[in-house]
Amino acid sequence: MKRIPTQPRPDLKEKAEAAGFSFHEMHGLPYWDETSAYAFTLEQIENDLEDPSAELHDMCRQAVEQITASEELMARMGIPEGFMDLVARSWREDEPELYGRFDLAYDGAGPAKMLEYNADTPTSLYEAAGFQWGWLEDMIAAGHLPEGADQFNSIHEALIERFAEIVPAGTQMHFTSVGGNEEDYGTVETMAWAAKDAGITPHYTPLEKIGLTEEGQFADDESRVIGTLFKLYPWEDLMRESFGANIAASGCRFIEPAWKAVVSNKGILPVLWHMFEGHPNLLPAFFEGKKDGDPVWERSRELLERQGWVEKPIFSREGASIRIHEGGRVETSTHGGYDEHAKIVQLYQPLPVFDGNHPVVGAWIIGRTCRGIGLREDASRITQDLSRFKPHFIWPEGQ
Amino acid sequence: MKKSRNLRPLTIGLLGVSAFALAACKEEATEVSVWRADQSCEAAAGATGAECQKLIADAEAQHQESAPRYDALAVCEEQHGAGNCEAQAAPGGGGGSIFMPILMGYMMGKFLGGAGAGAAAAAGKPLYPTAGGQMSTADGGAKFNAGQSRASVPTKAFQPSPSTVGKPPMSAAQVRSSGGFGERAAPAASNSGRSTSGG
Repeated sequence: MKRIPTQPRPDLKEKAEAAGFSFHEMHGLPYWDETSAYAFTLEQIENDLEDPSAELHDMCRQAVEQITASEELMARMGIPEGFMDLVARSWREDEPELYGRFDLAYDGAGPAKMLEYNADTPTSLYEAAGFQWGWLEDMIAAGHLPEGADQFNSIHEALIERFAEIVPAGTQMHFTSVGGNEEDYGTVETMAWAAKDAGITPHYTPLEKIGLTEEGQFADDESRVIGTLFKLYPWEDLMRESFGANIAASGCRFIEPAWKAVVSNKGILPVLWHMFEGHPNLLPAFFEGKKDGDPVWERSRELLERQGWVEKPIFSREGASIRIHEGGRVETSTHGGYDEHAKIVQLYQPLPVFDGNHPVVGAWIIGRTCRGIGLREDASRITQDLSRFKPHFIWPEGQ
Repeated sequence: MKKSRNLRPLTIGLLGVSAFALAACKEEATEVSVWRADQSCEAAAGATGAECQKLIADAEAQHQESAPRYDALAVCEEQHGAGNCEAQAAPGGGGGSIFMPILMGYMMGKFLGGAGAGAAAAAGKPLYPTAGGQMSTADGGAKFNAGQSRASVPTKAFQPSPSTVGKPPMSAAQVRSSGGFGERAAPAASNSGRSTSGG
């Protein structure tokens, strides 16, 4: 794994605009940054990222089995009492998952460590699935990368396959995101392209325009009943809004299913560590609060005190409300309004440093397998919403 | 191999090449004039005195035929606001009373293709108070804010309302579950079943 300076395409701006990628710059700074790229060997991709990510997803499914059987655990993970049945039922009835993104700390050697799993509302899908691939083709065509250069990216094809498995062709399916948010719309529309290629008819409706019919079904902004809904909006928020009380009786099929609420939740990290203590891709993690007498905690305590630990609210996005405790000092990220939630502590795993930047590998799970990666890097130790997306490629074999 | 195959260029957020199905054809709508019963029909509807007489007579007849009817004053006032309901003797006499909302205002629309080719036929509808201070049609299919004089409503708002004369008065339970007069509906021209918005 190397960070290699690359020649930005002279027509990058035109290409981004022609593709509708309007948020390639955000807050006046480049978000898509191709002045350098990350290079991997095929072994690193297959052995260190692809296979471990699929295994981690399988371990998360085992954890969901345990969590949904325990109201005490669901309560600790912030599932409101009125929604525990919905979560448990969605799991029991085997409602299929569509996608997710692991955030991994990986430096090219040694096992990748799971920082968290964005299993409910992962974004940056268009950048990873579409624009990143266009970059590789352009770089090879311009002679900046060798002919045999490759990329770990069959995200779009995998989404088509997955949609075909879980939603019958011909289904009228709705997609929703917060109205007016271009970045979220980009993720939702990328998803809709894949659905369309799988024979589904996609319809968009802004989240705020979803209504309720007299029969208690959800309806779109043209008063048409919603049967299947892809929602780029977190389950923990759906559950806490007054409109959420209508979900159980609506008969609407949600993608992701409700059980993703306990996967895309930092509370799964201590559950995983207690089930799979010592797994090479996991970091020790614990619910904040009384831990004395827990033998698992006693075995990790000294390591956490020596190496430092990170405090994370069970619900947080874009690196908000994170605190790193190291050598008696505390570094805090921007506040994101997540502080009222329960917290977990996780062993501090410093991100690798490449030319002063801290990359995080986003490993995309489609269905139950890992089908691509995208990287984001930040000058700070905590990857936040101003981080830059970096393309990657795989060296041709033998080079 | 990790390489994607057959990947066509993906676009997002571009007008004209959206992944999403085109929005359905808009429901047929018609422009209407709205006025309160104590306001001038001629001024509000831009109609002659004779036209206004006919419009108001039409609406009065519809009011008698299809106004919402309730078996208790409290239920009627819950739907239409305090002081906005009046008693009507039950058909066939007896001690019971039926309550109905006052006729609060009128709605008038113009439709092409009336008597003569290309001529506009005017049609009137009675409007009733809502508990939230708006006016609405008998079935709640179109709602107007106080002071609103022009609006666009689904043409079907002019379809005849089902008769309520002589039918058993609606019980409180039925009203509560009907939703048609719900205060959570968006103001003006809310069509069909939507009543609230998610967040």
